[in-house]
Amino acid sequence: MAGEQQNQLLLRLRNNRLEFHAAGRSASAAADSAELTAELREFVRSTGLPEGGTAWCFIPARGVTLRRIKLPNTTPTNREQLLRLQIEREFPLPPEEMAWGWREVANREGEVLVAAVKEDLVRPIADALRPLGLSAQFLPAILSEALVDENAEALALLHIDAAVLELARFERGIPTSVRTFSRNGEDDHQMAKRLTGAANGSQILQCSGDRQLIGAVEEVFDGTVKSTDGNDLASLAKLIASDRINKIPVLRLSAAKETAPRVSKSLPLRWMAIAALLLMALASTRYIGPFLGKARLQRELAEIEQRQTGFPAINQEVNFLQHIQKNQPPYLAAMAVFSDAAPRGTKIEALSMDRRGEFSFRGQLQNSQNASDLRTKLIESGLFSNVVLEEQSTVPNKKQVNVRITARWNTDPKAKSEALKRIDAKAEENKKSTTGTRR
Amino acid sequence: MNISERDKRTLRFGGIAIVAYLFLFYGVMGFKKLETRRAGYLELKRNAQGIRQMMDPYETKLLLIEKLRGTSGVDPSKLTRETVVALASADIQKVALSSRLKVASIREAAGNSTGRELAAMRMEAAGPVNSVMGLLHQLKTIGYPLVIDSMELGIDKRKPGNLKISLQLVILDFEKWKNERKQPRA
Repeated sequence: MAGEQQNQLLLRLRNNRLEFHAAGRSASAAADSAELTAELREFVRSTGLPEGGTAWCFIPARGVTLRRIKLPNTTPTNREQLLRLQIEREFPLPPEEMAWGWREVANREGEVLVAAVKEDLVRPIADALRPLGLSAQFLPAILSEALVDENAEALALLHIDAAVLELARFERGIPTSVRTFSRNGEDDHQMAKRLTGAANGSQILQCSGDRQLIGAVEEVFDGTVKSTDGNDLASLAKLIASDRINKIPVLRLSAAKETAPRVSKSLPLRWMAIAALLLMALASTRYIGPFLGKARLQRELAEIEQRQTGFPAINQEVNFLQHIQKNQPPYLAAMAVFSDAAPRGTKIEALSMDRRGEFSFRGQLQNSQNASDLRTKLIESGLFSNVVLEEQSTVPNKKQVNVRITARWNTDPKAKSEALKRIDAKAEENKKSTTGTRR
Repeated sequence: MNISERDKRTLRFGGIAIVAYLFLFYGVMGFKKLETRRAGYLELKRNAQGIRQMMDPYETKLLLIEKLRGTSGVDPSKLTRETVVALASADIQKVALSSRLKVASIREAAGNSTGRELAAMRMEAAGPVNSVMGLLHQLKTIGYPLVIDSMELGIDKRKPGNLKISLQLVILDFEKWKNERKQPRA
């Protein structure tokens, strides 16, 4: 047991400071410090204590309530449930919102002593210990100190602090009540009277703290008054190692709540921050364009506008060049078609054509049949229309005929005719054969 | 100064409420500004898209200009109204001579302004059939805005086998197109 208590972490909450004790070493830190866990970790490391296990924490009497509750004989599981129901009825808060514990009262069958304190008063310490793997067990310090004196029968214990006074009463070593007092401007004598009134019935009143008030209490109290310096954490460590600690209830927080805060407090905050960041990033994509793309777009527009100034000239030039192209009648094509249609022996005396589509031919053909053949071929070519044989006269003493033909010809540069295609194909063939002969 | 847990909690909630209020107040303002900026950006983007679409035909026209310049050999940006007739006349004669044609006469006259013509030219020449055809072909790619208005072919009685050709040419006035475009549309 002695070795065990050497390896345990003891804490004591006093005047808003948390004292640590382990392996013969002590330290302290502000109880509401944000760095409490870090300081505890450092202390545990320096003392060589293994992480995990139980940490005993002695707390002030302020807020601690004691009740004796009678329970019917039943199984341990049922007893726990019954006890919870009784606590619900007897205490102002439900068990889940308190740190509480119970002990069977010796020699009183079915009677249990329940001690409880509001969860808020001890939760920060339990939370600070949890990251170290330590589970906190709370003991009201004043009840524990009374147990140091083994022989107390009807004892009252008085802690006199600067502002708060704590009084605990015991009967046959079993705590019966815990009270705290405030001075409220009363002088020592009046205060002593109030305290001794509360401790009435106790044979021994053990006092620690303000000597002056203890003196006033000694004068008023009807019994033995013992003045002590109070017990340090080392002596409380010995008490824990003994069986006598079993006389007072050990306060524990609800097991369900021990694990819940890890989920509800630390985890969601981080995930919520990540989720918020992701949401912000997602929302910011909507505005990336206006911030990053605007300058580029403006530059592009300026370039386009600059180029636009030359656009009217482009239009003019296109129109002009297209006009030239449309007004270049295919004279060569028309002559090729005419040459192809003209029979062998045709003599051209005059041939005229203009871009308004007028065509006229004057010449000599071999016979009258050739004249009608020429006309037919010109019409069939598709390039000529309205072909009129204006004059056809036989040359005296000869077979030939003089002809004068007028017609309309297609001045469209894109005009195509079957005859023209045939001429093109023939020209292509001639070209190939010429190339082949040269090789 | 000692502050109780209850006070701390109150302060915490107060702080959260103030931060939430500030966030909502300035957040809404900031959001409105951002939205305005975004709307401006989208408008600009739409404009740019419209202009780009409007430009597409011009890109096509540029390609068309290149093609037409290639086939006709005419580049209006290199021509001036004052010299184009003289230069064209000289070049036509050079082409005729190089095609072994004998130029008999060239007569120039002012063009028909309603027909957007700068000058009219009558040219008479004689030579072999191949040369005549060559001249007709080359006039199309000589590099001046020429249009053959009419053509007459006849037999050269002095030289059998040769042809006499009489061409009525028109030189187009490219400035007329520019002026036409500058006039406001009705």
